[in-house]
Amino acid sequence: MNICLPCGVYNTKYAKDMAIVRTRSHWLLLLAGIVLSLGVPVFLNLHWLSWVIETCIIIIAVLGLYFVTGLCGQISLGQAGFMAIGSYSTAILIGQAGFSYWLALPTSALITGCIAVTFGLPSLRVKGFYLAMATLASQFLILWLITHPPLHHLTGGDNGLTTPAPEIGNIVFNSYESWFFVVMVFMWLMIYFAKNIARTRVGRAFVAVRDSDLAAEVLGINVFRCKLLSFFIAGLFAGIAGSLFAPYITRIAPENFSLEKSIWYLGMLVVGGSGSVVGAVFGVVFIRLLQQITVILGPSITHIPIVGPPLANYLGGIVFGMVIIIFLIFEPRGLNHRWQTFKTSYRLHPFSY
Amino acid sequence: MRGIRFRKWGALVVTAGFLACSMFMVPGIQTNVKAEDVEGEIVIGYDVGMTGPYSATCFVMAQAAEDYWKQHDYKLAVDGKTYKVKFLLVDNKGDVSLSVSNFNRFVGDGAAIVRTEWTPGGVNLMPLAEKARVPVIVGGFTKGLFVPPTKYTYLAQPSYPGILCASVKWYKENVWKGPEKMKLGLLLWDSAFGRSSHIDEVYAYLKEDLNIDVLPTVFFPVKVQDFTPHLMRLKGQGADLIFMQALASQYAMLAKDARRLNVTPKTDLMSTLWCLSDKYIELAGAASEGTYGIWAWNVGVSDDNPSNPVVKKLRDCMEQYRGNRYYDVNYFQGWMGQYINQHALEMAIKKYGFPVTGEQVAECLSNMPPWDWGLTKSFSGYSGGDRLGWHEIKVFQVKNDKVVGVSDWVPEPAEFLKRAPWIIGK
Repeated sequence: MNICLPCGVYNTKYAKDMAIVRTRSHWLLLLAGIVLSLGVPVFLNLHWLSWVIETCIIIIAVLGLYFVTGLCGQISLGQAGFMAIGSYSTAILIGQAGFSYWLALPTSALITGCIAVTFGLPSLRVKGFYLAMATLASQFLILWLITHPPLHHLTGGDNGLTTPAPEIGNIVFNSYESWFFVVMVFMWLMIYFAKNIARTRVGRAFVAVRDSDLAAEVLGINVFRCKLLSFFIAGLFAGIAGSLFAPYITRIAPENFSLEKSIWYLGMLVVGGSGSVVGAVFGVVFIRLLQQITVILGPSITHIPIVGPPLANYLGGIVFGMVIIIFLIFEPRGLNHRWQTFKTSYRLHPFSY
Repeated sequence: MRGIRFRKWGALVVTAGFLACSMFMVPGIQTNVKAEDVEGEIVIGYDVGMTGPYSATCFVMAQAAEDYWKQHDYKLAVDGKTYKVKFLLVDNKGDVSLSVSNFNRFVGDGAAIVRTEWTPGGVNLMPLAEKARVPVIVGGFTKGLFVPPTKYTYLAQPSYPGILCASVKWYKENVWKGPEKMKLGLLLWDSAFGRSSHIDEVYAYLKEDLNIDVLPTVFFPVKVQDFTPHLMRLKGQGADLIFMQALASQYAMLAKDARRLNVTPKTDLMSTLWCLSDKYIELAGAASEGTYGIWAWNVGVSDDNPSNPVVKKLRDCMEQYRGNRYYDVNYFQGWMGQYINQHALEMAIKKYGFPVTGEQVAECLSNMPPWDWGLTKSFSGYSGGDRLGWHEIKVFQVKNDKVVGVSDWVPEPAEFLKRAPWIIGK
């Protein structure tokens, strides 16, 4: 990774080697990024502002998947279902148990984490596709429980639940502009946590389990604990994402957390690069921008004779499927790897090596 | 070295600038009229699943909505003044998040009224509409959409439970002639749409008011592949009529399975809205013969005559833009949606003058009086908390590979509405 550092910058201490932000330019870029991101509401209209808020929430959910899939090598197809638990827990805790939103948020995250652990239990015995099926069951089970008796009285069934706007003192977060700041702060915090956990002992243990769980066990790593912990963290992130989603969307309904979303969260991670935090962010932004483009272009191509309407009907699916195939063939390490390659060549320019 | 550094920062600035600009450059799908002598522009938003799982029915609706404004040259006129219509037609792909994002786009562009063509979208847009003070008219039905009724959310069809009660009542009074108590089997899709009729008031009405033996309701999964177990169960219980609440493709599958299992013709099949169409007959083939279905508009061929100028205008639109007067029954829904939008906007402009806000349009809708609109027997309006607009249906049947009307207008039964007064905003 040293090649990614600018010329003349050396890691002279272990702490420096481990640092998330290493150089003055990094700090400047980070601060500029934070300031720019917080200034977004000034530049964007309502449509793009809501797009940014939702993108930030999805980034948090996909960062959860980054732990379980990217770092620990387990497959989870239930992230949207876990988000549903976070959202519904928040709405129920506020609306029916009288919690404040700021208490409901961590409580919902913990509840989601604990439930995710139960669905992670099969990871001890099964791997790969079999684990995917087990986590897929969580997606179906959670949505079924939400819409059917006896829980539907609590969750509102198909009619969903309304979440009141969170408040701090006299400040009511009842507009996109105000909620944007909360979501943005949480996103930066979760990115930091994700980066941070990845470089800790736990993070390294996750990587060891991913690369070879047998070798990791020989090294003294408690593999089962690691796998469950990764599911717990994934659930925690999904819970926070779901909890932030509830006041944003105002009324949560089962359709907000479909299986398709779970699959796409995994797809975003694959496209971005499953082993990195930056990749998760890139993947989410890229796929969501692509989604907007197909929304805009889809109806336009219906005017093309003969191929128009049938192609438009499946345009989204075709484009997304192609993107995944292209990435798996040409860039299996995702957008993040492309970004790293670009940075390296940019720094070495005009020299090739 | 200095040149390299300059190029680095220059490239960064250019990239950042490009990214920032691209955010603003992405246009929405919109259709504009030529610059003419118009008083001003009115924005209408339409959120519809042109692609994705709902496209089979919604694509035609989107075409119809677009054709509606083409037919009207993207204009509406009030008191001799002409206004330009900016019609924003945006795909939601059957994704609630996109419906929300589309709604925000409409509001950002100054829409005075928005239509969404699916129930889940409506459920999610309901609180946003209230926040933005822009009325949303939802194509669909679920109790949560209007309990309690708000000034900003409206529907435009009879209620699904009301349709079920009305059509079963009609069947009992006009078709069924058994000496014993009639046995009704309910086959409901395990989705928000199917479950919307699974309410206590329906069962109470059927059992107590209609004196029907309602068999235990059978739910079938969203991705049903075979109706054999469901039909065998209902056959074993001796159902006289099986009423299904799903869409045309499921109804065709049901009709074919029922024929194969000899459930029909002894037991009759009936479905809710959206099922009986040429597409259904094509899918079900000979098994479609004799099956019943419902429509809530004047869709019969006999309705296409100069005595009904609205239906004639709709059929003319189909012929002009789709080359066939009987192109698709779903076309009614898309055309009708814009027809209501136009009426609402005209009411608002008449009352408040131009420009109109969403708030003013909502105010007009909430006090909308009955309207002789031609597409049904009547449009009862939205005043008094009634958010559905009309409450009547017609029963149709497949005879010799044709969809034929077999009933006059059948209202949602008064006894049922007494049990479920929330349907009419009471």
